[in-house]
Amino acid sequence: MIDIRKLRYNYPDGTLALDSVDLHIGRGEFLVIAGRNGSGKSSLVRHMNALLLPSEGFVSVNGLCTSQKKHHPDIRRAVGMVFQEPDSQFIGMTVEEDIAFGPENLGLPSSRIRELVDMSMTTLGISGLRYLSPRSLSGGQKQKVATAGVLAMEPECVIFDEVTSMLDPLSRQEVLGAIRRIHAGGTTVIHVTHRLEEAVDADRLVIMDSGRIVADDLPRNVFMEHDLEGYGIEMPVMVTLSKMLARAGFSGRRLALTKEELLEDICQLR
Amino acid sequence: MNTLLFRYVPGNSFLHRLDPRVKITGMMIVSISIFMSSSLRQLASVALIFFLLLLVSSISPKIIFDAVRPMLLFLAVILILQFFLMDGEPVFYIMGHDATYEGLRHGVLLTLRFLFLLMFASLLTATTTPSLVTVGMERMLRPLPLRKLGISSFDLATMVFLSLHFVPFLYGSFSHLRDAQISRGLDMRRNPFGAVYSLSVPMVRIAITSAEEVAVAMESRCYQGGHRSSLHAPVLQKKDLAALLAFSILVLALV
Ligand SMILES: Nc1ncnc2c1ncn2[C@@H]1O[C@H](COP(=O)(O)OP(=O)(O)OP(=O)(O)O)[C@@H](O)[C@H]1O
Ligand SMILES: [Mg+2]
Repeated sequence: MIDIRKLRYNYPDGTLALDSVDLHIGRGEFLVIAGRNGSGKSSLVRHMNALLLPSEGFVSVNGLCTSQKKHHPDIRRAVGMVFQEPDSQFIGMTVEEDIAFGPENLGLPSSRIRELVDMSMTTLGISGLRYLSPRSLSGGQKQKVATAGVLAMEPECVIFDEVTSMLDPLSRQEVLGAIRRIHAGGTTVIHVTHRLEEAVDADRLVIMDSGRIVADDLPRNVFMEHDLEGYGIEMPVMVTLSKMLARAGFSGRRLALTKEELLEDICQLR
Repeated sequence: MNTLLFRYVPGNSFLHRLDPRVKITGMMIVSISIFMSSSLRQLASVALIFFLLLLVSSISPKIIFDAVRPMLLFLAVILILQFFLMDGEPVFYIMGHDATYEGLRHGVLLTLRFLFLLMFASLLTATTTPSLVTVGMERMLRPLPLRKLGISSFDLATMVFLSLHFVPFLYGSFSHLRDAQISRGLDMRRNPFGAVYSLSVPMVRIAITSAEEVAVAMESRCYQGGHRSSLHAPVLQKKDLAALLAFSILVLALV
């Protein structure tokens, strides 16, 4: 549903943020994008809902090219984005009104808006926050409200740009759970993160470095075939352990990605 | 939330459910009558009306008190200035200034007017969410020929709404900035001009950056200016008009 060809992007100050990026994302995929700070992840995903437009190359969503301004409303309706910094993305004074902002822009009748707001608050489990001010919430709650605001527009694809990086472990698990539920409901999910543990159950893992895509494969293959430390990212602990065990002569059948897989492999050694 | 001024208090009272247009019109009527009232008796009637409304709003008086409290010092200064600066029959005498009876009367009237305006305004915002105020305003502005000026009632209402939105946000950023600069050795007393400089320059930058960020967030959620609908769809009912009529008669009769 998203097609990116030979994308190159320079910021107005001349910084080259993306260079010859090719990426095709299919409907219903769960894609994780990782890479060190400044590697161009945000710049890339901002092209996917026409917040940035290519300097060279082209980006299309559902066959609509982002360089044509008349397509922007349809593209932004199809691809929603949740940002890393929650405070600057709130527009409403109450949680309910903030979530309604998107559907209001689509010009939907108010009974329909109310349905959508209720539906997305239930999905995220935040119905109890309805009348609170979004700014007064905790970090995890803020990201859930921001996510609900995107869901209320019934997008086909949701991009999460480092939404978990400022959360404590518990809130992170909650937000990740919400992301998985959204994907399970048939929505395409693009999840940008520094933590590769969050990529183990993804369909695809894309690694970026200096504005280029340097790996794009099943997470297991990426872990096996690439030296990720060289790109400034840490392997999941389980993968490192599994590799160390293999080096020490305990060759498991495969690379273990999760605690359960590693345990299984170790048990088979007996 | 740190700002207590103009805070919305969720509820389901008669006043909460009243059409925002009626409340805005009522607010205008009451403001005019407050400014035209020139005697304590008239202001006493205004107070009576306020307490009647407070009763039907089920808003706790503490909310209203919290909203006006930050202004009390300012009002006290006005009162004292009036007390001493008006000409008239002296009551007593301090440091070369006469405190006059007329000054006292004027000062009390002036501060009471301010106080009542603030109280009515916070009652309006306590019972109406900002977005409902915006919808109400948008609907009231719609018949005006704004198109000729090149703006739509939607744009105007969004502008008002964003200003309501930005005040607490910028205030929050300002306190963060001040704390950060103080912890890096900024001394407001010893070097007030330096302080103004090192606070105002980054503050302008913060304002511009956050305006850009909000614009990106709005765009990303399909904001395009022009026509938009609303979560709230206030419908003027008989009871709204009846309430407005009753309220206007009450104000006219008493004040
Ligand atoms: N508004 C901007 N103007 C100029 N250069 C920018 C701007 N935003 C980002 N850059 C530059 O573009 C490059 C890519 O930045 P980008 O934000 O896409 O990286 P990122 O992978 O999202 O990083 P992070 O993990 O820190 O979010 C960086 O070199 C950055 O300095
Ligand atoms: Mg980023």
